[in-house]
Amino acid sequence: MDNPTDLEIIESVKKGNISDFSLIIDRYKNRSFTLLKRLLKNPSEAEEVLQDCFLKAFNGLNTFRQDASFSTWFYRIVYNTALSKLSLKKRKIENEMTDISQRFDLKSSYDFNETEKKDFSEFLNELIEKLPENYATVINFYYINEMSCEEIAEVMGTSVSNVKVLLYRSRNMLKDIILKNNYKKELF
Amino acid sequence: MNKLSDEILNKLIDGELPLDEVKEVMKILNESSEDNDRYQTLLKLHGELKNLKEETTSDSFTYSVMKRIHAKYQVRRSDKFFIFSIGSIFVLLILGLIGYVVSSSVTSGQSSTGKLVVKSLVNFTQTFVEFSTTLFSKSALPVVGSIISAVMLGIAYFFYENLHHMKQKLSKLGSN
Repeated sequence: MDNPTDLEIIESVKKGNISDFSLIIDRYKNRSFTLLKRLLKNPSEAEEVLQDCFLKAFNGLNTFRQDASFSTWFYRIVYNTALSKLSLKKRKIENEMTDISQRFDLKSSYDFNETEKKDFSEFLNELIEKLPENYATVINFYYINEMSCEEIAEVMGTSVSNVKVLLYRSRNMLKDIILKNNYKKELF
Repeated sequence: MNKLSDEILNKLIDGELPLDEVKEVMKILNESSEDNDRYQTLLKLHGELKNLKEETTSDSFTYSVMKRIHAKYQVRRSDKFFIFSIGSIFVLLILGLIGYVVSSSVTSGQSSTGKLVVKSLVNFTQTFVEFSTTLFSKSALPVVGSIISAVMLGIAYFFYENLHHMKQKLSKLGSN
């Protein structure tokens, strides 16, 4: 098999070829790590949590229903583990969508001048990390993991329309910061 | 003043507006520089977000996870072996009991047919019964009970030690 599918790999692992699980790890580690790093804001902690997620997935392979996609199932593990970790750290998890001005004053929490020498994508990454957790999650799933709104809704346990609202709001939030702080020239 | 809402601009970017609405929105965008400015910023931002690159884990990440998985798999296997051993002991005990019951019934109600077939079985079971009777007699019962208790305590101790050892091994691997 040149490029086995997720299901083929899982079947092989279930048959006892445990080493094949490394293919799954290599396939999903970076995208999941990006999400965890954004949510937990700590690379080493993100990596530690990701290891636990892969262990959870390995232990739960027998409970994985093959009619669903493995990626959705695995990202749900990652997302839920991140949320548990965040709640353990007694951090505020956002479940409701309210106005930007009430929630986050991103302008005061970030100054582009401090990092003028960085390129814009790096700046954008740091801005996303400052977004509320569910906003950053949607941005990450949509743009990095290239998931559809339906898949994101399944992972986050919410409706497709809610995912779209979250996506629009996160984009608008970023756009507002760019416009209000005259970062347009860096963008264009 | 903005003529177009952020929602409409987002829908336009995602291609979720019907064609007739798109024409209308494009017309407004041509007329309103403010709306066009917002749209262009959103569009550019959308492009930048699409170009974002994923972060990478450390080089040894896959190796570390696989090491933990292999260790856990070993623990599972040794647990299975342990449970199988304990199970075998119980199965042997149950077989012994069944043998005792069978021998009792055979010795009490032998028919004329099949005497030869059961003769050897009778001899074997009679020996077993005699042994069991001696073993579980009133005088020997406290000694046998103590031995069984000691064996059970020994098994429990080794099982606990085994689990403790494996836990330590796993936490070491985890910290690596």
